[in-house]
Amino acid sequence: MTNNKDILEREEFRQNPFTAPEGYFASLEDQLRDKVLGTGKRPVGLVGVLKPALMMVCSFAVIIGLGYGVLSLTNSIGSGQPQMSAYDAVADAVENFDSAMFEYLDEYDIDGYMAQFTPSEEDIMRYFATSSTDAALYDYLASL
Amino acid sequence: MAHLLHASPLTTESTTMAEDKQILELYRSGERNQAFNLLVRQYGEQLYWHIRKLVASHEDANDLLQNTYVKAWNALDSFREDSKLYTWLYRIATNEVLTFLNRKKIIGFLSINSNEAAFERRLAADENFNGTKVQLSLQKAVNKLPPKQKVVFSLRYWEEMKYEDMAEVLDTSPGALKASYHHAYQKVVDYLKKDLDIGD
Repeated sequence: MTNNKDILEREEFRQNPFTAPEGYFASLEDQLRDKVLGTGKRPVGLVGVLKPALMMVCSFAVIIGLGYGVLSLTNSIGSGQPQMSAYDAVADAVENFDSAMFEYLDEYDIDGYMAQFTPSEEDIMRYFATSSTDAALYDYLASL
Repeated sequence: MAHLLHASPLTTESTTMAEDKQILELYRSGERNQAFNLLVRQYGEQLYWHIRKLVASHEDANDLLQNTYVKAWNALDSFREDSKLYTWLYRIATNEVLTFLNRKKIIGFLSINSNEAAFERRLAADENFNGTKVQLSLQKAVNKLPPKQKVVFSLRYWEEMKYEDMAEVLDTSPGALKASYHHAYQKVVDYLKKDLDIGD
C-alpha cells in the first residue's frame, strides 16, 4: 500500500527536470558583469546628491516664470495698482455697468404695461360678489 | 538518469565561510572586479537554480538573477556579517522571486484564461524543460502553492535547507516554516494523487 509520504520520496521527483541553455554558465560572469558593473555603483559626489533636488527647483522656477509672464502680458499684474477689496470690486462693477441698459428699460413703459394686469378695487369686489360663498368674508369686505 | 540534487552550499559551511571572507576582503580592499568575479563564480549557479525551480522559465530566472546581483552588489557596502553571505544573497534572490510571483498572481486573477492551463502549456513547450509526465505533474502541483509556501517547499524538498537557515532567508521562525512545509507537502501529495491517479 502506498503511503502518502512515499509518493514524494520517489527518486524521479527529486531530480531536476530543468536545463540551462548551452554555455549559459560559462558566460554568466561576463553577462552579470556588464549588467551589474556597467550600471552599478558610481561615485556619488555632492552634485550627484543635489542634482535631483536642483532639477525639481528648476522645473518649478520655469513653471512660475511662465505663469508670471502670461499674467504680465495680459496686464493682470505688475502695474502697481493696490489690491481691491470685495466691496470696492462690486462698487467698481456697478459704476462701470453699462448705463445703456437702464436707458433701454426706460424706453419701455414697464409700469404702464404691468398696470393692465393689476385689478382695480372694483374688480376685486365684483370677484368676491360672484365667486365667494363665504357671507362673513363678503360682509367684512363690504365694510372696508 | 543523471541525478541532479542541488543542495544548498550552506551544508558545506567551512568552505563557504572561507570564500565569503575572501570576497569581502577583496571588496573592501578595492579589488572590486576580483570580488565580483568570485561572487558570481561562487554563488551564481546555485542562485540561478534556486530561482529557476521557483519560476520555471529560464528567461525569468535569468532576469531575476541579474536583479539579485545588481541589488546585492549595490548593498554589499552595508552587509554587516551578522548572517552568512550566502544566506544574505539567498534572501535577496528570494525576495525578487516573491515579488515576481505575487505580481504574476495578480495578473493571473485578471486574466480570462486559466493560469494553471497556461503554465502547463508553457512548460510542456519549453525547450529547457526535459521532465517526464510525472515531473511535469509535480511542477504543476508546486505551481499551485501560494508564493511563500512554494519557496518553503522548494528550499526544503529540493535544496534540503535546514529550517534554521531558511528562517534567516525568509525572516520567519523555524516552527512556522515547519508548519508551512507540512501543509505544502500535503497539498502537493494530494494533487499528485489526483493528477496521476495514484491510489491510497
